[in-house]
Amino acid sequence: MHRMFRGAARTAAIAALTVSSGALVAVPPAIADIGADIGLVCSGKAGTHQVALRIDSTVPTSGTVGQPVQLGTIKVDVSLPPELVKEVEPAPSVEASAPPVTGVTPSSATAPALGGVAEIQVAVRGLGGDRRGGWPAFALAAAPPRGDGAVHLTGSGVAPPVVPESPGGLSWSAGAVGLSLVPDETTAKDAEELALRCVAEKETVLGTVDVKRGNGTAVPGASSASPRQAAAPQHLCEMIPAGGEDPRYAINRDDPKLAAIYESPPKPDGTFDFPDTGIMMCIKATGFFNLRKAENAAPVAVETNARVPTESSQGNPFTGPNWSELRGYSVNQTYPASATLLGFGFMPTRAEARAEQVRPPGSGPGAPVTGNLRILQSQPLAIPGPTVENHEIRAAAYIRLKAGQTEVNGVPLDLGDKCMTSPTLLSATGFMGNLRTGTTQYDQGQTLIAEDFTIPPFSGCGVDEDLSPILTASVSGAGNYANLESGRWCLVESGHNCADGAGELPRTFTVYPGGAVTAVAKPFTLTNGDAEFRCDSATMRFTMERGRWQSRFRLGKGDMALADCQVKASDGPVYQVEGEVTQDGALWINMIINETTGDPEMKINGVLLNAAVDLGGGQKCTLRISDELRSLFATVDERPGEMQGTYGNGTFSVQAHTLKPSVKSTCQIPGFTEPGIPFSSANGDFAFDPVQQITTP
Amino acid sequence: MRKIARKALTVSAVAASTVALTALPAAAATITVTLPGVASSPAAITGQNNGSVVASNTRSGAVLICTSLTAAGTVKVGAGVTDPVGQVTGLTFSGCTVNGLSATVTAQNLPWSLATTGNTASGVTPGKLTGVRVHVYVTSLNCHADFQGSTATNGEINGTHTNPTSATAPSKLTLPFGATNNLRAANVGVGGSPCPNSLVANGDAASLAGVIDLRGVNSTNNTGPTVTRV
Repeated sequence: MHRMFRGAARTAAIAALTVSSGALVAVPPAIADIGADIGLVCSGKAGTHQVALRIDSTVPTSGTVGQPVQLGTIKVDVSLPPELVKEVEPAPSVEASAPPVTGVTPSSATAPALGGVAEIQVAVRGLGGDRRGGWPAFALAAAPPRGDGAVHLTGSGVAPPVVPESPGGLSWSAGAVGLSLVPDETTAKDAEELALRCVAEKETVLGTVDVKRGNGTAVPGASSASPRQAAAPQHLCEMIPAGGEDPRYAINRDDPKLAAIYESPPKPDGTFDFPDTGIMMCIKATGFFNLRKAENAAPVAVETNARVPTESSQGNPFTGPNWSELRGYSVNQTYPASATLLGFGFMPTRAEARAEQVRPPGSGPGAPVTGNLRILQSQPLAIPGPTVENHEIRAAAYIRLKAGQTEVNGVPLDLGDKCMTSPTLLSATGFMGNLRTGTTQYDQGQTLIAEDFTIPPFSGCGVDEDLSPILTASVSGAGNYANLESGRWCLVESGHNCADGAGELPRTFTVYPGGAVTAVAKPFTLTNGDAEFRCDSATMRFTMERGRWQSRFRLGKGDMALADCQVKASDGPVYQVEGEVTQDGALWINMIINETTGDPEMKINGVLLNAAVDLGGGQKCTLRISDELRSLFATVDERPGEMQGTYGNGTFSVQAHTLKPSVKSTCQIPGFTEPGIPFSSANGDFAFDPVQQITTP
Repeated sequence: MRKIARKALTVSAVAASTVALTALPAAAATITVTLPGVASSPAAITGQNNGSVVASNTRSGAVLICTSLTAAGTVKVGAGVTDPVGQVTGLTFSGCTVNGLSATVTAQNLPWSLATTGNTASGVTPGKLTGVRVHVYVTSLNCHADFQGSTATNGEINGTHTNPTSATAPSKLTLPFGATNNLRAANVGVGGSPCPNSLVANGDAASLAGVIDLRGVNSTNNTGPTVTRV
């Protein structure tokens, strides 16, 4: 059993270090999730029972000496075995113990009739010593059955902030738990309390915040060093040689896997191909990494030093092709981030690791150490020849994972300083949009996805014994996945779009509560002089994912229908629209930051409306409303349009748009016949239901 | 001998006629500009892009696109007006990108002048914008550049003006693909970061294209001006 426990601890450690390295370089987000599953042994007059306790909260990723550090809402989940629940029933009337309680999670109609209070002893370490955390008592209510045979009681509350007095790690550890159970909180006065004293097998670390001195001394997890300091302690945001200066820093054309990003789609003939030195860029990205073997996920991040473009290929906007391609190279640097995971669901493990970028296997010392970059875009014009349908960024590099400081339940696990994998290919792509979704510019940041990342076998792990086979068996393999959001690209030499001399953190958004959303405007109008397209209502339906740190691009997807519409010609006549006006294809919600005001704004992309207009006398026509796709001097096709405006108090208010009568309309209604002329105004206040809180970060 | 004399006479005649042609004063062009419902001159007009305004660096291939352009200006109204027949007093570009990167484009050295350069044929009058100077700033690259003539004030772009096709239509100021111009990049990188050589360098030329709809501010139905030069 002890042996098995150690093995589990090692595996947990390995899972943590692997996800913390993330294959890409790491920068923690501003807020981090913490939590733990704690196994409790609880004793009372009903005997001894095994009880599981789950604690979740959030912490800032860093703190400052003398400044309060506030945990987010603390959520607790107590899992009771059925035999313990039976001990609480039936329920004679005895008043429950009465600590000051907080935050009862409402129970559903199908939840068991059981409630209670949990008092958790929490120690805060790193305040210049150990102190009690002063957590509140949590009022518990029954949650709906989850099919695991246990009865779950949940509650939530807020703990007082703590003020660190010295730099270093500030951590919260859970210890003993007092548990009081009553049959039903609504009848607690008449119910008999079952009091239990619970102890954890070991004190459990819930999470840690790195605390820096007030003078801004860099600590792990905080911002990086000056980009101009090539030998900065953490080697972040370094200058790398410009194109043509050093063969070790160049686009790698010899390794077939790295060069593969340039093969599909192939660059067409007829572009201006121009070599360049490349602008020195520094890019941060944060996200998560799914470790397939551990069936676990953890926050990870990336810091990339790139030279772009060292090659530029531009199509001729008049004769084609419609092609804009930038190439360059990059070094993905390790950020000294750590992660805390629960190995096997119960083993709190904190580990630090880093990913080292390396040359392709089999290449010589003069070969490029850099990875390859490719950015593909096109112009929003009808230009002859091949075109880039989907704007995207591609990156490929070889890395190896190197294990660092590791602790299991607070106990260091010495893996040595040579514990690492062999080189493995990291290939990531970022979709930057198309005519339907709208497009985002590469320098503004984007979502990067690395699929099917393979973790090679480990070697050199362990001091007293070779732990490499255990690491390899535990985490090495294919099918791992990373999803990261990058911030704006920082111009290292000028400091443009940089934060503290490094890349900015990504501009992500939080959506709450998410889910199925309708957004209704009453009325919705498009006007052009005396001509007007008017609907009594316009309804957009979206699916939005609830959560934090979501990409601003394609934040929601949906469709649209407009009801009770009419078309007023510029010369007076009014025509009715038969049935609903329909939307062709998907709508997308994109969020942007207004660079002037700093406020977030919403864009609805993909608008392509189709209305059947009754002209009277049995005559009908189709009025389509969209944006236009033009050649240089003529409208040649329609393309999805967009609406842009503010979002506040749950309402999207249209302020700008690209909507016009489509070239595919069959209506000859004055005011709606010239496809190139946009409507002079669009008015609609779309009220979201349920109201969505869309905030940044 | 007679043959030689005949040749000499012919040469003299040709020479004389050449001298006579050269000596004739150039026929003065007559320019008439009408704007329905407008009698006062100069009259206010506005301009709005009809499609994107595009420029391509002929050396690097870098592409500048602006999806919106609005202009304000004046046009001389009446028979026998003289060049320049119009002026651009305000000009705003928006939705601009350079190789896909956001850019701001600012008109400088305003007002620009609009003059005819040839006679009207089928409603189309060749002309040119003079005094042109624009400043381009690629935001994320912190890259600045000016496009101007050999000086800051003598930039020119040739194009055409097409008269309205109906009583409610605008006229069109067209910069056809390959419209000749003397604009060259200057002051590249001044006031910001060095601009990528693959984007722009001092002395680079540009191909331009775009169509701008012109309408009278006070004309009937906001119809655009009709220009006739004979």
